[in-house]
Amino acid sequence: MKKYKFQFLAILLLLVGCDGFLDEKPSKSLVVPQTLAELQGLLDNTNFLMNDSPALVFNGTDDFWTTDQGFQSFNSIPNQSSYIWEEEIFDTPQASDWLIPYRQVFYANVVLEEAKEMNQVNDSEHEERDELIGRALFMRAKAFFDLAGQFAPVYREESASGLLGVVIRTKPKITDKQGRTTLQETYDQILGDLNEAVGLLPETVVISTRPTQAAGQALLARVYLSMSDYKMANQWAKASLESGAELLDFNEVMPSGNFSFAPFNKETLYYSVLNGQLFHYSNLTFVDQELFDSYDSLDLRKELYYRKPNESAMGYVFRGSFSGDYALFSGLSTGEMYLILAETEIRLGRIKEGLAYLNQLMEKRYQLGEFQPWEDLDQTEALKLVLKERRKELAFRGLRWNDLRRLNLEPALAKTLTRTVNEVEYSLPPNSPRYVFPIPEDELQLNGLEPNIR
Amino acid sequence: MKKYLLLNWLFLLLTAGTLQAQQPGEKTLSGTVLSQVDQTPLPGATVVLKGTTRGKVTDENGAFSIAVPRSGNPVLVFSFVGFATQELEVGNVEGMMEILMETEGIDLAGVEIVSTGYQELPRERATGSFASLDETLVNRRVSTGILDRLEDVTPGLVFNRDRGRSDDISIRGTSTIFSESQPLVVLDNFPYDGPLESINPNDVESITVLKDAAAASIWGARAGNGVIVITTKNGKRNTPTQVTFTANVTQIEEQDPFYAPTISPADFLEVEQDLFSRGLYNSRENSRNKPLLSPGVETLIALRDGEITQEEADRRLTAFASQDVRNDLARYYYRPALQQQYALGIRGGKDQHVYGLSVGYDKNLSGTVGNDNSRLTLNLKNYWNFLNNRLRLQTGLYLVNGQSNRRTDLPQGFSANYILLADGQGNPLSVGRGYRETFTDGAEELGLLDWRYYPLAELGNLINEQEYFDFRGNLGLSYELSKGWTLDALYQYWENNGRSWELNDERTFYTRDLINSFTQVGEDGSFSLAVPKGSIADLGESRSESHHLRFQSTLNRTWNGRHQVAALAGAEIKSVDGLSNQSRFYGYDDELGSSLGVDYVTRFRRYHNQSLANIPYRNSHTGNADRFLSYYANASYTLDKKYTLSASARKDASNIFGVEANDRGVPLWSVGGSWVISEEGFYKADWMPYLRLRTTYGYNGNINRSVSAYTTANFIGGNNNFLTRLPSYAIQNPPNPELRWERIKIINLGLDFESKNGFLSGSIEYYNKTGLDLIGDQPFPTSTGVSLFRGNFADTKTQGVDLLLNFKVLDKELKWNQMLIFNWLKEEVTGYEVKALPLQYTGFGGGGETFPAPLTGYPLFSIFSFPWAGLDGDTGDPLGLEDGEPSSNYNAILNATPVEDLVYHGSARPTVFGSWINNFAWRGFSLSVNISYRLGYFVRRQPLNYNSLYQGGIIHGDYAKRWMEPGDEALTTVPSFPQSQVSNRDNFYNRSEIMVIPGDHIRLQDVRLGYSLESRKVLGIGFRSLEVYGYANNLGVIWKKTDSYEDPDYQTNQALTSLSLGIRAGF
Repeated sequence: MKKYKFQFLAILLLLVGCDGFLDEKPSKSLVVPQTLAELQGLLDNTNFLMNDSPALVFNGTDDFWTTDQGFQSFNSIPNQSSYIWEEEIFDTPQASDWLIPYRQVFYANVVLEEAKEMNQVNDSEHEERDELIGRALFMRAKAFFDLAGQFAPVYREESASGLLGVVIRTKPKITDKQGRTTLQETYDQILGDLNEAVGLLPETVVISTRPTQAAGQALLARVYLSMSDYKMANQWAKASLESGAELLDFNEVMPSGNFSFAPFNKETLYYSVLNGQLFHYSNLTFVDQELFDSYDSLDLRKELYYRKPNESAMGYVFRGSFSGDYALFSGLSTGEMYLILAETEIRLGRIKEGLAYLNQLMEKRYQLGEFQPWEDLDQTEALKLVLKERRKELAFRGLRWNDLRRLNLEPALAKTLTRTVNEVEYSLPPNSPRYVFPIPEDELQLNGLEPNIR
Repeated sequence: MKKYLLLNWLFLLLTAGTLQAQQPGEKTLSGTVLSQVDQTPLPGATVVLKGTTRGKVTDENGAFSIAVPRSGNPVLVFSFVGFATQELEVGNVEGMMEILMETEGIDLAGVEIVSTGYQELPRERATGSFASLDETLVNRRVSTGILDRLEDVTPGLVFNRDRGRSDDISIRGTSTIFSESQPLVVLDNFPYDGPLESINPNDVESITVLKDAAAASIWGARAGNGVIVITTKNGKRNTPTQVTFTANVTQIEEQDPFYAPTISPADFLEVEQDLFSRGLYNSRENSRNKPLLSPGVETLIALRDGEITQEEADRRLTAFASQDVRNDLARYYYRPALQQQYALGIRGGKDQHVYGLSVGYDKNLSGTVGNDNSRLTLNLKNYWNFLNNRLRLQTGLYLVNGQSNRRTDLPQGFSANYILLADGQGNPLSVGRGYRETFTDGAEELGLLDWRYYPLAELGNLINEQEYFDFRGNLGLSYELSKGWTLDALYQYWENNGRSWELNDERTFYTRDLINSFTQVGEDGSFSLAVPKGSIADLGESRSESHHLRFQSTLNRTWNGRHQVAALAGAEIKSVDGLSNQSRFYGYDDELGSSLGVDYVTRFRRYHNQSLANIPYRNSHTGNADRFLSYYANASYTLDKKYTLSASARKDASNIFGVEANDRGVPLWSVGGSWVISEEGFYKADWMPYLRLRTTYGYNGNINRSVSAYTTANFIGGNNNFLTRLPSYAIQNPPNPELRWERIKIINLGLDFESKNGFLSGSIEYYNKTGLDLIGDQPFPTSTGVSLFRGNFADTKTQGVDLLLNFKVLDKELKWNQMLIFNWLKEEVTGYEVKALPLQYTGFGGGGETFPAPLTGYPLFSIFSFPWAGLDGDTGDPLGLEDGEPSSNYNAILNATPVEDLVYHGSARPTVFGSWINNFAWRGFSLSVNISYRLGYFVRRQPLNYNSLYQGGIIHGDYAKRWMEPGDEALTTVPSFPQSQVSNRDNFYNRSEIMVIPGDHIRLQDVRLGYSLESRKVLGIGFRSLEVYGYANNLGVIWKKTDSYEDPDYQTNQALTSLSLGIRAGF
């Protein structure tokens, strides 16, 4: 019997031995991502992932207000509690504002590990691989920066080594434990990733969900600005504009319906949107009236950005997202670079240069020929002006929260926010610990992270 | 049994002296007595010349020779323990004979042969745990599907009703978490890859359920959940052609839309008025999306805006309060389902050729008007013996055609429960869907299509046709090298081709809505259509096929009449490939058979809110491939028919996990032994003449398709990446180089017994299963990028008892026997390291989470809840405990309650269950009554979601019992309607102690009444047998432990009573 058994086995082995019978892919759509195209595909996963940024930063800002009914219709506890700056924010053990950036980090880490292991590549592949590494680094840095803006205090050079930053993961292996780094280490990582990325990113891309070198430089400018490092912010914003980024002339945009802009317009340096929340586009989410009133009647943005939803509405709703849709644009734009340049020039004492950048931007924002350039302002006036224009230009982009955190460090620019909901008044004083969101419960329990005291 | 054997020997001993040499006028016949099952010789069988004392006993090769008279129509009687006594007229027989003895039930569980799909064994020599169902038990129920036939007659098997799937079964608990949890189904020796609904129960001869390691480990990596071995009917050797015909019809009670209690229309309207007065519709009323508002809210808006008078508003609201949409559903949509089943079989066999042919047809009209399905099956089985019975060629061809037609979808998306579907004359009414009627009403005048939704007008207008052809063909060649030693080669090809076709014409809201919402407005205000007019058609095609090849060598031999060996070894290889394509056609014209192209690339502004969207792209392509390569061996040795030892081993490799995991694959093996105690000399218990002890130990495996050792990603086609249309990937699985196969260690201990006169027979088995290296989810800190990680994180432990008792209470003219099945089991998760959060532990059951969060020390499917501290006397808020104090801080309770402080109620699945079947027979009448019981488990009541009520959801009827004013807390446990949306208040209440009820209940499951005739002429037609029967199923709950009104197993879906009538005839 034994003899025969071996004969069967021999036949079977003949049948299956030669051609990798057991190596067949179990599913057509399943891959073990290893090729450049597959890894690029991970970074191109824009569907609510790689080009989303957390929305919590928008909720607590003075960009908007809502009625009591609007507050009631906010569709989640985190939305409501962050609107009124409660101590507790999350009602669930996990929070998308934490999870989404970390998932971006994970994807980027998978790409980086695989791409760095690739050896035998030819020249054109070599270049492609470098671009891929650049993109992954850019996306990882952006994710860490978005996290730091929510879950770590504002950066100050003198205290950064003594404060807690966020968790930094640079390897895809998920079983490695990793606690919080210091704030300094967090920003070192962000800047390190971005500096490396800028050297690798391409000058042009097929679509702005992929970062270009200019986008990398722009993000560096944004990061340095948030760190109050105006010199570096200025340097990178300049570099970013050098590649020929253009401003969109708002005279060429027709205000219409619910949305004014087309997506992927020429001002978009890098496309990302705030993680969608129903109330972002509720007809009860009104622009802050003071902000609305600050646009003068010749300012095209007044109509392109806002509209009155109906006769009886108590305010104006936003329709000016560069996504061309409901989603609030949170990416990098040429306009933002002009504003960074204007602010940093002024702060560095080059007031005239600063105002020149501002005037260039305003030319494109006002009705043709109607804009009167600013000149002859002292530094304080110029700074106030540029900050006001910054707020007007970058409303509803999720940038205001970090501006508030940064500007509150300067007593002259500090602002106390107030809201009234159901006849109860809430306020958020400058430099409040509530400018730092609590770490989600899951992370405290499963990873043993130190909580943020609010 | 033993008694008969002894008597036979005694008889032969006494008559030995009378045995003489051949007399004149006599002839000598010789031959071999073999077991029909495995063709093994039966040494020690007796051969007696009927009417005389002359007899012989077969030798160790089963051979005998006996002298019989040449005249007087001599009859030989063959008998052997465990086999049916056979009489053979031998007047015309000369020379050698071969007598095949058929096994005889000793009333254990029907048949006495157990089949593993690789071999057939007499139960006497099987050490493992097998549950067998013979044809009678299979046919006891009336159903279209085969799985239903197993319920209540298979020890250890339970239907789970906690996950909303009707076909979810467990054999001896669940020893897996996320891997395949359903048993392997083996059909005619091969695992069946097709849909179970294509198996016609009328073609089934027997079912064997393999429950322990010795029984199932031969199936290796797929045996972990038990194996159901189905054998279809064939003819029998040397039997004349027999024709059987079965027909039955079943009527199922009409579904009652009022079965699951919901908030009354009057209450719902009251809530709307309240929310309206608080301005809570402002947001929706002003929304850019123009979402649907209910007629009640629209009335209030019209009143507020002065468009109607107070009197008119009151008139409308009063009318609404008296209406209920469920009346219309009952009237227009539901009907009693009707199922018809017909089957015809023609089977027979000669010495060299056996055949079986059967045709079956099922036609079911479903409980929703316009929908039906049907199935046509055709089976043809043959085998031929050649070379003096040493070579056997067998073939099988099986064809199934299944069809289903859906003409009606139940209407959906109601804005309120008081709407009407028809006016007084039965004309369809518009109910609004998706958008406010104030928005859709003017659509036609603007030049759009009618944008309203008339559910009744769509009734019967949908076309959804699904059809499949299932083909299975097998070929087997078996060659006997020498007595009892065969070589087998088996091959099976299977393919299943499916097609689905759905056509939504412009009469359906779906199509009109899509055309309208993609209508583009030009700068001059003109309309253009991005989605063309015409129907929308969806075509799906799928094709699966498998090849399965097996080489096997089998040895069945007996030496010296006392050593019996049954051994086999083999290897098999299997491939399964599936491909499916889905495509959509816009602007389809069924008359001309033409369709129009659309622009999938551009993001269009949608008409109603100007948001950007792509035209839905519904083309997809999937392909799957499974590859298996396995080696196996199995042997058993029996000494003196008393002691049996068995062992088996199997090694599997597949393409699923990747190579590394295969390398680590642990061979799955088992050992077992059995001992017929009653055969021992010292055994003196006359009242229990048969007693056998058996035990086994070994491992089964389980596979999981969702994990891999590598980082795996799923491709997302460009058309699904709506923003950029770049091809992209989503990571499905983080890398896990440590991945291993799941294994289940099983110890089984069994005792088979039969009392004197067969009054009591049965078996009791104890088992202990340990699930090792089970694939489990581990909650991970989300900073890793994953929130759950799937790996070999879990172990489980299950122990239990399966008891089967058959009582022969009366065996006179009135026969009465009882079958009692009792199962007890205790499940526990062991070694699940990471703890989940209280919110996750309390999520399972009652329609919450589909997967439980395992907790060490408790059953996998457990019911936990938050402690309940009553209702707040001032607000009617539900109170929980926070640090031991009553609290309404729901966030803290839900997230921070220590797991030890949760209330553990018990298992979510029955821990004690079974059935008690009473069978009565009197003359031709038979009556069978099945009472089933499910005890020792808990269910969560259906949730009450106030949050959903705020969004216009139609919520649970407990709303009527809510706390309304101080003092109510003494009368009710239903919280007050909160003044704002607090989702965690609902979450707490729905997961609290007060919402858990015991599931224990006893049910009168079914009753079967039959009348049968043997060998009669009825209406001029001669029948070999004829049975007329009636069968009623789901007759109701006899007892339940909970005081709550619910049927614990059917809280939302009613257990519908059905009544069947049928005949079964043999010619």
